[in-house]
Amino acid sequence: MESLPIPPAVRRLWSGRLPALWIALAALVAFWFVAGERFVAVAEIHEEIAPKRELLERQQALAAQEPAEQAALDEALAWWDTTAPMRVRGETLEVASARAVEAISRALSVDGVTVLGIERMRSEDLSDSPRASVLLLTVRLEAERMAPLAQALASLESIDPLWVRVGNAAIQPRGGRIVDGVRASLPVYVLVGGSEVSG
Amino acid sequence: MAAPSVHKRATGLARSGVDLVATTVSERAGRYSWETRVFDAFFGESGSDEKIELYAPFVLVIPTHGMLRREVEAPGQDVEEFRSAVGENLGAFFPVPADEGLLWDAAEMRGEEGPGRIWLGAVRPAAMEDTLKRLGEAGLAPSRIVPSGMALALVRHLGVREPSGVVIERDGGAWSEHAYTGPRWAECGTGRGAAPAGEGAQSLDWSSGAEHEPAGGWSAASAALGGALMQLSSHAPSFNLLGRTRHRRIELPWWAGWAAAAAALVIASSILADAMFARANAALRAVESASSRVGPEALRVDEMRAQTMRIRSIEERIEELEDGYLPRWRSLAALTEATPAGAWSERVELFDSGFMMDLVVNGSPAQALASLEQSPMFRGVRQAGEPTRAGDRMRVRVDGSYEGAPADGGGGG
Repeated sequence: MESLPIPPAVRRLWSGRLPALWIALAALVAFWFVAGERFVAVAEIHEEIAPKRELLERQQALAAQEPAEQAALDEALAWWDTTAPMRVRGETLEVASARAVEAISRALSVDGVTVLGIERMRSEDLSDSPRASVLLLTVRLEAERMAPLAQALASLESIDPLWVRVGNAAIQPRGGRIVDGVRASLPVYVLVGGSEVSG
Repeated sequence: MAAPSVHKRATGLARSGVDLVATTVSERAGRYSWETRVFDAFFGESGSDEKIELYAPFVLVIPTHGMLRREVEAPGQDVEEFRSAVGENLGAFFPVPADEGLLWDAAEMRGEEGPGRIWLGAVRPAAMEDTLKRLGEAGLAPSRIVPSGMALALVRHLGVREPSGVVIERDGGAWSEHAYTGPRWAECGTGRGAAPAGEGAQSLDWSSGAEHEPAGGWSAASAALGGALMQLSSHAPSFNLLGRTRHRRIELPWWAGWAAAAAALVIASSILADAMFARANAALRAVESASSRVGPEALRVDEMRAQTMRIRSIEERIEELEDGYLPRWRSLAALTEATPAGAWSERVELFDSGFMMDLVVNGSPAQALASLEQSPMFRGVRQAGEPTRAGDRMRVRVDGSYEGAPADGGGGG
């Protein structure tokens, strides 16, 4: 058998290694235009799906807990309902405050005791819905003796059925002499809140 | 032997007297490799009837001077247009009866001055009948018949590599003279009698077979080689006396398979990409749909949980305020009750956890402390600091803790 290299002039354009190169290049270009963008789009969709799927799983897990959450809410609402009589009601905090002051003044109407002042200091918001706050008032009293003061305190702490609590109370002689009577400064906590119960 | 699906081989056939010369050429890795076989007396009376196994396609090369020839100036006209024109009026070119028919074709001749001349070649079918019949019987039916002048262009270029040159064919009393420019056939002249001297020209003697190739010259084997090269080279003219469609094979280059595979791969990738895209979109829609369905439920449960948490926070805060709370009136009453006779308190402070009082006593503060300590409501009653004298009495600061709130002490009243 005889053999000679093919002269360049008669060599096919596509002979040798070039065809593989051209085919690979053409295939690559064709791949990019035909399928590449699709693959990129697929990758983008997968990136988009991942957080949505994660969110869905969380939503499904949450939705699956509905019976338990409903039971917990029912229990909480039942407790909330039981506390309804303990709260000073009012459409706004100001209205409730005024009613609280009125109730406290009534409770302190004890012989031998003079209410020097009831001052609203601040309120601590416990919740927006249902609306509930603890109102802090400073009550200053004057009493002829310790006994009516104790009676006034008892009356204040027994405003049935309101939730009223007295903080650190300070009682001292009026005018430096105990025989002149006593003066007391009482921080008073009152539970106030809306009358509505949303569930 | 049957041709492989990718035609990288071809066999050139040439008749040298009664012998058949067959040259099979293979193209591989940038090289042409060939092998020549001579079948003695193939066209003779005693020729064997056996089939011959060679690689198809078969290209029969015939001496140029045995053909009817015309050279036509056809400026501005390409070969295809010229073929169409000749096909309608072949008799104008060759003096043969109209009913005889001819095997003919045309090719462009390219000299130094460039294209413009068209070479028209033909043979009478009767002249080829025996040859074709015998080749067919041997399983070597050619798909193409080409003139030697055209075939030798590639042989000359392959072997000589000179930019231009001349080849003279001799066959008994006839001769052809071909001029070449590179691998292209540029001119052709034929005659009878003594061939031109052709100084420096390559010569081909049709009467000598491959086994008797003259020194420095060519034989019919060279013509057969040229025929096979014409089949393999894309640069060769498409000339074929058997017609451009008759017996024509769809010859695919070797890389066609790879190109087809690449195309299939791209198409498959495209289908795969489309499928993946559709699937991803469907998955996205499914997730979004499920999310839109479950979302409100989850939101409701979330709101439910938040509501519960808010109420629980109220409850916890109230419990925190209740924790250890002893009604102040009880503390004050207990202090009053536990204060011994003859003693009184000047200042009292009541805390959540205990009390502090300034006690004025008549006698010893210890008695007052003991009295307070005896109360079931207090514990850890102690004197805080040194007692001071207040007239004839003693003033002492006392503090203590609550023993514990009564059961009804934290119920809201």
